[in-house]
Amino acid sequence: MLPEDYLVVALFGIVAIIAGPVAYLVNRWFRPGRTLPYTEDTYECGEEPIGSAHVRFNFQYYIFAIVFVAFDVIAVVLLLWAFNLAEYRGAEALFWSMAFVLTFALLLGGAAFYALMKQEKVSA
Amino acid sequence: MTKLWINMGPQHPMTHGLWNLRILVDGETIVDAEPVLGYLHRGVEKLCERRTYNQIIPLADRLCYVSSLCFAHAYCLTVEEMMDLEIPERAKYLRVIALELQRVTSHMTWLMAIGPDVGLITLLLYCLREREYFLDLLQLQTGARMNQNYPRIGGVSQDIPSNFEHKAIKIIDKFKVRVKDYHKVTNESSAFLKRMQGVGTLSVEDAIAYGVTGPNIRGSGAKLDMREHDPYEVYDELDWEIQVRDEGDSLARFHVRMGEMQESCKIILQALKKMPDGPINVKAPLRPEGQTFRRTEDSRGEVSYYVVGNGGESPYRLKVRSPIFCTMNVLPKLLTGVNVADVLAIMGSIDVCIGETDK
Amino acid sequence: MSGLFDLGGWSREISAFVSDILAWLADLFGGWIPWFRDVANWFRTDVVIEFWGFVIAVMIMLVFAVINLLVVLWMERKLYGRLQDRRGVMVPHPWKKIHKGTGFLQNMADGIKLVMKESITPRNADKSMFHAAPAIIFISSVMAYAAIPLSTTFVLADLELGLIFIVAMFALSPLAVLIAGWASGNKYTLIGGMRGAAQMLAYEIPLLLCIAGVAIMAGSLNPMEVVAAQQRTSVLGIENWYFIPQFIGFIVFMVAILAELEKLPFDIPEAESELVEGWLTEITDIRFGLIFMSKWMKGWAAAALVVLLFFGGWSGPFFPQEVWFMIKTYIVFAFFVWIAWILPRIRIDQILKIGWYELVPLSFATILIAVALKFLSHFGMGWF
Repeated sequence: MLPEDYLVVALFGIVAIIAGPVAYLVNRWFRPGRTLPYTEDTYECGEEPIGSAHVRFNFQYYIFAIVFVAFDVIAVVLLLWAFNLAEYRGAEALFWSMAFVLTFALLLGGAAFYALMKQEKVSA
Repeated sequence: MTKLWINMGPQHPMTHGLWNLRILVDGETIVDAEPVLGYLHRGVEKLCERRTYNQIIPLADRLCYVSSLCFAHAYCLTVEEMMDLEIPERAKYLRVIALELQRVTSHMTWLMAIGPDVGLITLLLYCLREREYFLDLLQLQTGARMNQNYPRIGGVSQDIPSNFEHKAIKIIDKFKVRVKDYHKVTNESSAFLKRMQGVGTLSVEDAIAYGVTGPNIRGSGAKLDMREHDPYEVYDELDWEIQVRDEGDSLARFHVRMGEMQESCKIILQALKKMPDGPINVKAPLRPEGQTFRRTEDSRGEVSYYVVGNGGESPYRLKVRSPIFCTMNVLPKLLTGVNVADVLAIMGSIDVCIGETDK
Repeated sequence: MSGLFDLGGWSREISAFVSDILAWLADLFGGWIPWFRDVANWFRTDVVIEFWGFVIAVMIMLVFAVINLLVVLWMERKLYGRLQDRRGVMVPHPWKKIHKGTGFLQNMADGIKLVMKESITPRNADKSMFHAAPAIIFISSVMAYAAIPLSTTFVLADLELGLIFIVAMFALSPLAVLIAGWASGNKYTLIGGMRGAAQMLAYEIPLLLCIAGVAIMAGSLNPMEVVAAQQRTSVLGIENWYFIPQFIGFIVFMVAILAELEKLPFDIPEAESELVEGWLTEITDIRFGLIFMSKWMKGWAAAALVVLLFFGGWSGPFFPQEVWFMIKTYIVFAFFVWIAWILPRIRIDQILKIGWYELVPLSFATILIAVALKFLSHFGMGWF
């Protein structure tokens, strides 16, 4: 992991970050400037919107979001483990590392699925 | 949690016309729905009171822009019944052919619209391609692709050309092959079934209570077709089957319409074979008197006209019952509790035409 | 075959050439302007040559990204045109009233049009967030290109964690979708943004787990290494492209990456028929253009990711590596287009169900398969 690799990425990022605002600026020079009073209205198919859209929205998939957080941990652990897999020399070390990681993953996975099944029952 | 009133329409991809479906959503679940109509109201019933009987035919054509011939025909049939007018046999057959062609094109329009509704734009272009053939046939018979002004009080405006039968057979053969393609992208694809199956289930009792007719009620399991139960023209002499499905969901309505297209093709071929020679028109009286109520089967449901004539040049009163206007009542019931995305699958399967709904 | 285009080497050579020119100029004018020689000498130091080499490499990669975007966009338009029994995009003849040609320039015309469009910011919008969201999406999708190698030599940054970097850049866009959806102050965008967030919950885990499966097999998260591992572990002289041992993972990855791209069976946040244009409803002018561009940029990047992970990257006979890589990515992209235009959109609760009850267990299965294969290889069996 050489820092110079990430230097290129940083350069690329800087160029990309500049490109967005530059596009906005170019648009500012070329676009028509006239605005009518109703141009800035909220679009709702030509009807007056009933109430504001900045409300507490009922996000129905909350349980998935919670399980997602748990699963993200598994995914990250698995990725890091896969990244370090070459370090394990010998079948025994490999076996034990696999056993630990898979037990961890299955435990978390089982818990997550229990939560999802419970959610199914509650919503049904 | 705050519930949101959302306007779907009048300028919305879902609407297929100019109307507004106002839905109250809690998250993504619809809690309440309210169809708002009247954006396309033209006052056709009142307009008819100032026109002579023959001048009403073009107006009736414009009631529904997708299946205009059905409305014009229903009007002519009603007035003929009021006049006690028996029209020639050949005219009856010609009318049946034109009506069934119109039904196929109308169902093709529905099929091409349901594609983009559930996100399958490819289906739209496939259906437009085949709809063109039937519009060609219709043009060959009536002289126009849309607003044909074909039925007349006492017959039809013109006879079919001699090459019509040959062309019709060729086009229907081609269509039967192409229908397999539609099935491949629709009810043989599990993604399509996911969207349509079990969505918007309508029970027979509800359908009857709300006055739902046509393919929509046949999808709920009621064997109800005016062509069979209140026969007009020559439908009772032809051999065809009513398409019925028991499930009552969007997929059932889809299957009913797909089946009806095939049946219509059958009817056209039979009618072309059985059609006798003879005149296509009789002279109709100008100032009829009396009142009639007559119902026919439009491609969307039951169309009925109530005409009162008081001996004048124009009817004293004319009332149109259009199928989708009545079907709109059931929307709050159908849409409550479903997902926002299901609105499309349900509205698409109901086949809304705002021209006839707002009149 | 080896790579055709040595990005790092060539750009360093260009940089060195420029500094040589500067040195020559310094020799020429050094007598008159005293400090000029110092500047030229500074430009000739290795660090500066290296730095300008990087800048030139970045520019080359960006130019590649834009040209590739035009090709991919044109390809999609042509392909789905053909799928729909049309000819797709064509260009009007300059003076005859006919349409002919391939319509390649149409994409540029669209870009110019979007630059010249009127800009509308809704009164109820959260202004700064509303303007930031398109830029975030654009930046994140362009950034993904930094870590994509086209061959062993055409590579901008040879990152140890390249695959993670690409996926991390992809994962930024649902955030921007949520921001745009909320900030627009419109109900359609609100629902669309929330759907974008919910959809991310469904596909992100399978995506990461499939990459973990491949990484276990290859022993690395570096795309270069993954490709090298596929070439190295050949069976009977046929390279071991991972879509054979990891077939389940490949299928899961394809589904998840389609959801990531918001392509049609999963363009649920956009859902043009029920939500007008979803979270994009209020976005106009070049902001829309940037999102539009990044959609296809991401599309190609995703195809490249599939090729790197499962189709042996640039390996192939006769042609140079870059050619093979482009051919493979375009084929994968064509597959994306085919899927997108022949399947209807599914519902948001359905994708969550598919994601959690089908894709996640299947992706666990791929991990188990990868682990088993890895373990077997230690005893001389398996594909390693």
